[in-house]
Amino acid sequence: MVEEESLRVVRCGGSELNFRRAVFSADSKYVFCVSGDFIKVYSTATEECVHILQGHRNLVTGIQLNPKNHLQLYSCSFDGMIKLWDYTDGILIKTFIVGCKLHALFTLDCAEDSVFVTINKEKPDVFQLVSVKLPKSSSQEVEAKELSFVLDYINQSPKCIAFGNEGEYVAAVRDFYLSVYFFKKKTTSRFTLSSSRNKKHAKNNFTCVACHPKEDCIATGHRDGKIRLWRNFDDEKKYTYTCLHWHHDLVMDLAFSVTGSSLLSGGRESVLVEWREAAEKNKEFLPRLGATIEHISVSPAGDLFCTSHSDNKMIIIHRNLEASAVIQGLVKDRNIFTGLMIDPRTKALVLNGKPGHLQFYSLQSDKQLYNLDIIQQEYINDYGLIQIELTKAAFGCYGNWLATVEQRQEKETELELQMKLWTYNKKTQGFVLNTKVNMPHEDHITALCFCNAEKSENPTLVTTSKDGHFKVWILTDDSDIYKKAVGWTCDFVGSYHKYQATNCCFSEDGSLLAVSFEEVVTIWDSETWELKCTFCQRAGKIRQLCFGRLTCSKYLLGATENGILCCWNLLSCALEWSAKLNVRVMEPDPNSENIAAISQSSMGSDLFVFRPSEPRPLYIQKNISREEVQWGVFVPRDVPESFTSEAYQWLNRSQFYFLTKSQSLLTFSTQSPEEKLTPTSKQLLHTPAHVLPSASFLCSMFVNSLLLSKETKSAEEIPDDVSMEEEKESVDSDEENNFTEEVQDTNNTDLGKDIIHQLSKSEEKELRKFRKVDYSWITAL
Amino acid sequence: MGEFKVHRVRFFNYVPSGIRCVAYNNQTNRLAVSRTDGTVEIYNLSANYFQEKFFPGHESRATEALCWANGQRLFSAGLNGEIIEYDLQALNIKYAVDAFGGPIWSMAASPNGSQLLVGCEDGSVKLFQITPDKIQFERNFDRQKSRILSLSWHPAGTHIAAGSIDYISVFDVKSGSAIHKMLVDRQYMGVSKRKCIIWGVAFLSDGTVISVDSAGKVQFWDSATGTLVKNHLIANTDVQSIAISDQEDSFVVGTAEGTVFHFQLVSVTSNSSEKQWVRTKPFQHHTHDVRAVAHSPIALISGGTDTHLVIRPLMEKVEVKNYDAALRKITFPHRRLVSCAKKKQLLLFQFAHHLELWRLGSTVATGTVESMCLLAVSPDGNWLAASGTSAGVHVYNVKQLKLHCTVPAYNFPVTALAIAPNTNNLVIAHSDQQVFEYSIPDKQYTQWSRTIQKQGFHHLWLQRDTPITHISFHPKRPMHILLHDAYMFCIIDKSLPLPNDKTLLYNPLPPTNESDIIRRRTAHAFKISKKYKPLLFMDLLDERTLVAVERPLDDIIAQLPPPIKKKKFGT
Repeated sequence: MVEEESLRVVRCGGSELNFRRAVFSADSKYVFCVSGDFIKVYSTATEECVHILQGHRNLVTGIQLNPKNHLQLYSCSFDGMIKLWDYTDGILIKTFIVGCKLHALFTLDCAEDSVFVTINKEKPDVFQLVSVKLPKSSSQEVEAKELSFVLDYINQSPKCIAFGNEGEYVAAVRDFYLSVYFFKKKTTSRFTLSSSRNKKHAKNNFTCVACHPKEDCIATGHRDGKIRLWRNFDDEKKYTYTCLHWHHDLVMDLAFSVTGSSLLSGGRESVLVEWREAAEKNKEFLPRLGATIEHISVSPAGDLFCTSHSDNKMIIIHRNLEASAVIQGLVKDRNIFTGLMIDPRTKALVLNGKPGHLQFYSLQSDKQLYNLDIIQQEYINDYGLIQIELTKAAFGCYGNWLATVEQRQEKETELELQMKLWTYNKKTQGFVLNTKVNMPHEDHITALCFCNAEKSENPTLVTTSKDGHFKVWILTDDSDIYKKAVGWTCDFVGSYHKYQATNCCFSEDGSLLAVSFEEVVTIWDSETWELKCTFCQRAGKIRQLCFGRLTCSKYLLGATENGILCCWNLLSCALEWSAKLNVRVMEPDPNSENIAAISQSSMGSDLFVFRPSEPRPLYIQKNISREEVQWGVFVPRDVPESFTSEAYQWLNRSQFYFLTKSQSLLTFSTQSPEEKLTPTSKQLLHTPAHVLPSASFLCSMFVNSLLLSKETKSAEEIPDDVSMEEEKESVDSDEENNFTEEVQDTNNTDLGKDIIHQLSKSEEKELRKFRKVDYSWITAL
Repeated sequence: MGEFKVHRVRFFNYVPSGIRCVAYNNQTNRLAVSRTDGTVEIYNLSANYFQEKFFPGHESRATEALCWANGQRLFSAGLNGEIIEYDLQALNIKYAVDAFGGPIWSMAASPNGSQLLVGCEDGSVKLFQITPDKIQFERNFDRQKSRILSLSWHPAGTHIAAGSIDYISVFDVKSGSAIHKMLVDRQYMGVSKRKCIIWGVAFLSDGTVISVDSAGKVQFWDSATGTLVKNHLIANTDVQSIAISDQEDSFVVGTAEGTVFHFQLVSVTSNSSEKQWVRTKPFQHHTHDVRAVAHSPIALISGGTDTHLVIRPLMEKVEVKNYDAALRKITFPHRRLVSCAKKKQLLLFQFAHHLELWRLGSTVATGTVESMCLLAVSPDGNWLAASGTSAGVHVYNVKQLKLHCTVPAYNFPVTALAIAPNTNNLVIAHSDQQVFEYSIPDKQYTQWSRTIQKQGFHHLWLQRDTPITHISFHPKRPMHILLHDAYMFCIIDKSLPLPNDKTLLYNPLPPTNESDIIRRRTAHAFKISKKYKPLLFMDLLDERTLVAVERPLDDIIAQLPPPIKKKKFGT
């Protein structure tokens, strides 16, 4: 019973949209993309996510339309299953169990009842293309074990395989050769590029392949940026090829238009190139797409293209090369320097986005809200260039001010540093640059924070730097005869024995400023900028520093590099307690006294939630992630939850999000977050009214479903198969995150012995089930 | 091998002329090449691409067109308005006929070889009848407005296509009237250029006319309707030449940027008979304009202003991937251009239209005389060896003035020959890189020559690109033969063992740190030095002095007009 409420770590959106090529529906109304363990259905017109198809227990690796029914979609996954979906309603139709990890999926019009998948053979780098016969059966789950071998030693990526001329042949590329398998003749031709022998110029490795839809022509992309068009490849001697060369870096993907009259290519230049009539001199460009083009797909109707980019974005492009829609997920291809922040206005998660930008990402809708260009310079995409990095950012005064720091260091002695202060403009609803400070410090800025006290009349910003100083910046009148312009100026410079300043933090009321200088913590009076007292524990350099809140505001917490967590009492100026904990992330909850600390050990990352007043943690969850957690943040909830269990009360008012080294955004939840993203009410509203039966007919059923029946098993005895299936799926999807929690118990909980003691909880659970029931009840109609 | 004092001569200011026309003769596998100075060279593609015949040019005979007719007859026409036939036996000009149409820009022989067509400056196309010993004017076709720059016969001989400025005309041969006039778009990348010059046309048997023009286009026209079928924009500059294969399944075009493009006729899908022309491979072997291209059954041949003749075999047509399938680049003539008077230390340089005599500063005379036929006189003056174009070598007794003997005939032409002092052994080098030694007194091959023929030459020796152009002997060491080609100089020591395929042919000289034993073990008869290249001439002045005449390629390129500037990415 307790498990029902136990916390699990769940992935909360922000998963990759650019993992595989997007697929268009036959009418070009929808575009599908794989996204972690789910498949997302987007409307091409509105950019909205229409459905999330959930059911796979591992990464989805391929999707294709069912060639026999264009309203159905096949998907394959690492969990060894091929699933058939009805995408218009978002329903799973069938599951075929293959059993081994599936890496890519291909369908053919002419192949009657089989699909092609890529599987891994013993060795880690040896992949095979096999055809899987999908048996006809009425049952929901069918075993599909009939595999027939097609091609061996192929590349893992589906970009390296293409079927041509209505399935007469399949072309696969790997390293320096192209192999073509002819299904009728059952022969394989193999063409090797000369430089595989000549290592000196070995830059013409194959990167991708596409087949002409009408002619016997194979286009291949290469690492040196060339595109080769192969013809006459049915004869190993008479084969010939043409070169098209525009890209200066590797060709990431290729696609032929539906009629084959043009070829699309893209790469790191972020330019979509359309080669018309496959002629070198006849090409069109769509430049400035923002990030490396990773995939290109073409709609079956021929009117739309879709490019997937490395910054987790899909762009829907019209046939005339005009971008019409952008579907942007959480940008993930860069290092996160700024950490996770919450914009106090929009409640959006703010972090590094595109190069030189801050992204505002809505956690509720799993969508990027907007990008704020901080560096405001053209980004030149090339290897070896040292770029300007946006290293620090902080919000102040309820989101009225934003401070950013950017730096670029080419040589040890040549540091370029710039601090910018942005003010929120209510008219334009955006941030406007107010003050630009060149070289605010002599060395790297290590931390910056605003004084966020409620009664502070003057906005104050503190920056700390490796040059041994911390500077206080205040907002003052700019020299303007109208006295209307305001700007930021330096008010005070403080230092402590030439130590490097590493962290800074304001107390909740803004009266005290704590600045850490390597091993020493100094406390300053924010009124007079007088040094009040120092703390030194000789336990290594201070890595994190924060004040307690609310009732615990008299405490100051510091975590050191040597793995000691110290808590000082500001009233007695003495160490209150210390604990041995290798803290990586320490975040205070703005709505409570709680502080979350994530420690790193060889086993993984562990979470500790505690109050500064006592060293005993409120909640411990071991092994929240196998990899290092880099950043964390508390996000205030719009509607407080009411966890009764003492261990979870810390989640009542805020939710905790954290980001791992591989940049997956995770959170804690007792229910799947997807459930929250698409609540039942939304489902009800989304169902068109004209397909629903009359309200009088529905009413009694609806009310009946809300009634509590006496048998506790009623939930499991719902006659509707689909709802059963869905419930099971949601269980499956919970499990996929590989976390310790076991949720299968949900089905058995009704049979639990202590049902009488925990009646309130079982009731609650019942209610939740009924919520599910009425949702399936809608779809059943 | 001994050390020599070397006169490294680089003052031979030889610049080959740019190639203007190339004509391939399928029947004899010969290639005729004409250069801008009027020189005409004939290469035997079967004999290791050896330049076997040579007609010196004259400035007044600048050729604009070159063609083979009736298999063995070679005609050229030029801006002086004359049609010239060459005598391939006597190696002189048979006759010149004025066409009376001003400068001649183009010429084409009819497919059956009985008629010759020339396009003139005044816009006239003139038909000549080829008679066994001359050509005879037959008639004029409809006169066009501007000069006729290119001509092509329909393979059936019923129609011709003529490329002019801004349009292509199709003529009916019977009536001599123009039946179609196909206007070529002047637009080039959206900009209207002044004029569009049709540099080349090709008439296919299905009635398609392919044209190449100054706007960088390759266009396909239907001659029956006079309409444009397909357009390939391939260059930013002029496309200057076109040549089509006999099977009409592939053609080659050359551009002013030095790029040669290959087009092939490929089937659209494997199971349909529909075919389309596709641009396949580009080749960039030239730096300057490719003025002329030719298409042999197995190779693409191109030549241009940068003076190189490039023969690029088509891999798909090559049966075995051996050395013959490699690219050939011919820059220097396969003759000796330098003679040396040893005693007087004089060098004689042969240019196209003049000679230069240079003195070398401070000593035995082999008065070898060069001509198209090779001659060699023995140092004692008793014997004279002569090689004609028909590969046989005859040895005459000079004193008695009669034929002494004939060296057994060999398939490949002779590239160099010399008679050794004292022994009177005749050393003969052939274009397939074989070297023979023939004893004149004994009238038979020497023992050494028989041994080397039995064992065979080293495979790397046989794979050399350029023929041996000069052979000489060391006056004090009778076992040594000195010979060179454009890229190496070799001393053959007949006393040492012959190399087999496993030994290193190009010995790493000098092995100073190696012990003498290893050096002796690895030593073989061929001592090769690649230090001097490209080597035009090398000879011994005396026992201890060598003279080497080099002509670095960079010096030649520096004297050529600058190539068309192309934007290179990243610069």
